[in-house]
Amino acid sequence: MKAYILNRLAALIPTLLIVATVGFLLIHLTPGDPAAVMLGDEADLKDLEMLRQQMGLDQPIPVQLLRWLGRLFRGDLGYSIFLKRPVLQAITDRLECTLLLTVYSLIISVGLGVVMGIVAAVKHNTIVDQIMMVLALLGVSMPSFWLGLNLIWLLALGLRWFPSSGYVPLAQGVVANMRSLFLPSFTLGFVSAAPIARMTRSSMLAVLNQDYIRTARAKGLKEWSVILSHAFRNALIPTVTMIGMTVGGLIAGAIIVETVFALPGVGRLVISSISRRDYPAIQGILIFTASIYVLVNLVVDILYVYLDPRVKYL
Amino acid sequence: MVSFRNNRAVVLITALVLVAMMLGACAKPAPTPPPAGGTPPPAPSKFGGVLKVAVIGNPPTLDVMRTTATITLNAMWHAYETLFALDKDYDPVPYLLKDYTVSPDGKVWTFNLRQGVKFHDGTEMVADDVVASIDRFGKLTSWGRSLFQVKDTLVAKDKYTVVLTLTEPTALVPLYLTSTGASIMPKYTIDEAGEGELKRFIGTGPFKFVEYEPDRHIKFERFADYSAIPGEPNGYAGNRTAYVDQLLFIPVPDTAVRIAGVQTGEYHFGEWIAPDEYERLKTLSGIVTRIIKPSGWTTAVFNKKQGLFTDVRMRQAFLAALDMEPIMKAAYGHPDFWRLDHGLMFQEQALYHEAGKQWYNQNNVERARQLLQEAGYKGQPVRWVTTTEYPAYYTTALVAKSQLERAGFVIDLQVVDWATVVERRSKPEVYDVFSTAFGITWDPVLFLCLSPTWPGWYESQEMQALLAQLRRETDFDKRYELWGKAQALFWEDVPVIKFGDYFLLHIHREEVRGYAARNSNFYWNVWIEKK
Repeated sequence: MKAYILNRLAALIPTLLIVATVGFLLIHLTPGDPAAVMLGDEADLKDLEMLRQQMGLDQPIPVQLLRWLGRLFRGDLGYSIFLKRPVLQAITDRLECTLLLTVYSLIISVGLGVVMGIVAAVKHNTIVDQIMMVLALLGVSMPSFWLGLNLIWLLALGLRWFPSSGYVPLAQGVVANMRSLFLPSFTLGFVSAAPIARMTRSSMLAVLNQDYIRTARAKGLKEWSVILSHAFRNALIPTVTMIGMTVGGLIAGAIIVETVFALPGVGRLVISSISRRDYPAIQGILIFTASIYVLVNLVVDILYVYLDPRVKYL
Repeated sequence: MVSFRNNRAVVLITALVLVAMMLGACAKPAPTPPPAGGTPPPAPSKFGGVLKVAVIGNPPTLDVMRTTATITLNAMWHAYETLFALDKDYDPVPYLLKDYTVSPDGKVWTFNLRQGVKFHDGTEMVADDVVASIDRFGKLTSWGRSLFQVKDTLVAKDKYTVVLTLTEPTALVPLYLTSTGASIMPKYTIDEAGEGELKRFIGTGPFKFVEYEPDRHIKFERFADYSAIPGEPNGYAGNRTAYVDQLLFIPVPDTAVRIAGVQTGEYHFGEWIAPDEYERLKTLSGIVTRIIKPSGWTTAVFNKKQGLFTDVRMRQAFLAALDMEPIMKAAYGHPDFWRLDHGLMFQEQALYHEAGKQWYNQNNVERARQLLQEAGYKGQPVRWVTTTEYPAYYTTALVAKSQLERAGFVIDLQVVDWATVVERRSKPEVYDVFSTAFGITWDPVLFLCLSPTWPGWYESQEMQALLAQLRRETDFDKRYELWGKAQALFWEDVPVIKFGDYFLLHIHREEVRGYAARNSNFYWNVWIEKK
């Protein structure tokens, strides 16, 4: 097991190298450059050339790539052109917001998704099942920005229960923090609850028809014990896979939701860095999120072992 | 397998959910809550409070001499001041100056500084700071370089006197020095910056800069030792008073969220609101709508260095084919936010001129076809680079495309993000036309579209000669006549297409008072009325 984990961690290096190189090339092959954005619309071309030289953007792309990879191997993600600080610091400055958004969204999506999935499976082919699946369908079909704007309109503007935008740091109070993140978390959570619900439902259905469930019921166990201890635990593997994928989806979803709700998180940094062509920031965030994605996948794989003792990694 | 029996129930519940959502949509918003901040003080004072302004994004840099981005300038000019400022008629008047004199030949300008003006670090503003600031302005900004083309010397004569000597006279010295790029800052902050960007943002303004947290806010607070000019405010000039304790510029990219935030009271002010929300916003209690008239004009710039539009007949054909009304209507919607006008200077400006009016808004397909034939156009695709990041740019291009195709043009609309437009427009080999817009321009010699070095490259000796005369001339009537000639030449030469004037929409809460609704936003003299 230990060897397996070490192997997987070692595999991180080539994966990230590929991400870094492909990402770098895509970013640099996209037209536009940070010098023009910095100087503004009315700048003349002479200033532009000067600033490009200062930034090293006049160097050939392979030279820029090698320099960047060299720094990366020394653990240096670079220095953001617009934020005037190291990229790693820019990310950590914003990590609290994005991390909490992801955690709250995950709680909402797993809570909603798993409960809906179990209920739908237990009440299979009834009206309850159909309501759950219609809700799941709504969740899958709704774009998050549309849901977000509607929630703002209903819960912030209409009922005034939550602020419409902005972020209150955790240091200023847990309740205020949760209030400021409720609408974005619900937006993100509801949208990603849908696939979890559908996956839980189908794997529960498969398990509920097994002989050992009939045996458990025949032993006279209480129904909730049959469902939660015997059925759900065995139906959990596909659900955990789906939750792992959801984390990746939440990081991507944060890009949109943070922009709609004006949250100062990593997702918003991605958007503003791309539109300003802040190359070091885009590259740094790419590496950072790719690492998280790979690590989450690893955690999911390790969890399998605990959920199902038959799974063994050699 | 879904049983038929349950289908009716599903339909019923779905219908109920939809009806509930529709009812929610019709519900009126709750009444405006009282402003935050606890119980009001016994005697209402104009002073106090935190003014929160929702703006569209982050500034690319805070250094006012290293960018022309509005978002930087409109925030940082709360901390910085200039030697001259524009008054209510947009004429330059002394600001950090007590007075100034000009020699009879117009070449020697002597500036007498106001004494006792404090920087935010507590030091006094003196002539050395002014010389260092204007020198940096002359090096780093396009307006500054334009002034420094005719600069001979700039020296500190004594502690409070600066003398600028020119190689040839120009009437525009005060106007150049109203630019936020010509802000006065302590010499040591300039020395410290060297060739790079400023590290500290210290000025003489009514607010001092506190911090910039990207995506969170730019924070200013009242400068207690501010040396205000006594009397009444006068446009951007006159008295400036910082009534609010703190001023926050909060980046909120989505226009719907800016509106929602002003409605709920999270922000006092929402800048750059989409005009299609105007009718709805007008009816909301507690919200005040402000139209900024004039704001700018939308344009398509021809590449005159290379390709199809080096031929003036092609540009004239392009202009002849256009019907401006549907274009402006599609781009700006509500009629309160646009008008058809040929003038490069706005109707509200003294130099507004009738010249060339006959060429604007021709909608003459026949003439366009004829000109295309004369130019020998064979249906080569016209590469028009535009963006949806500014929706009006895209919409004008889209409507114009269909009109131009009616006249025989083949338009290849290339829709990219704004950063790409900015990059492509500097490469003459990759485009024929690009979309942009110009804000208010204070003097004709400053028009970018008439410059041979700005993208599009309008190299006309005749135009340059007229602009050089305009730069030298000080008499208004003579300048007016010269500008008429230049504008007539513009409409015959068609270096760019002017589609029409547009106006911006800002909103604020009703308790915000003292807002001047001028072309550039400022929040000195603005207070929050306590209820």
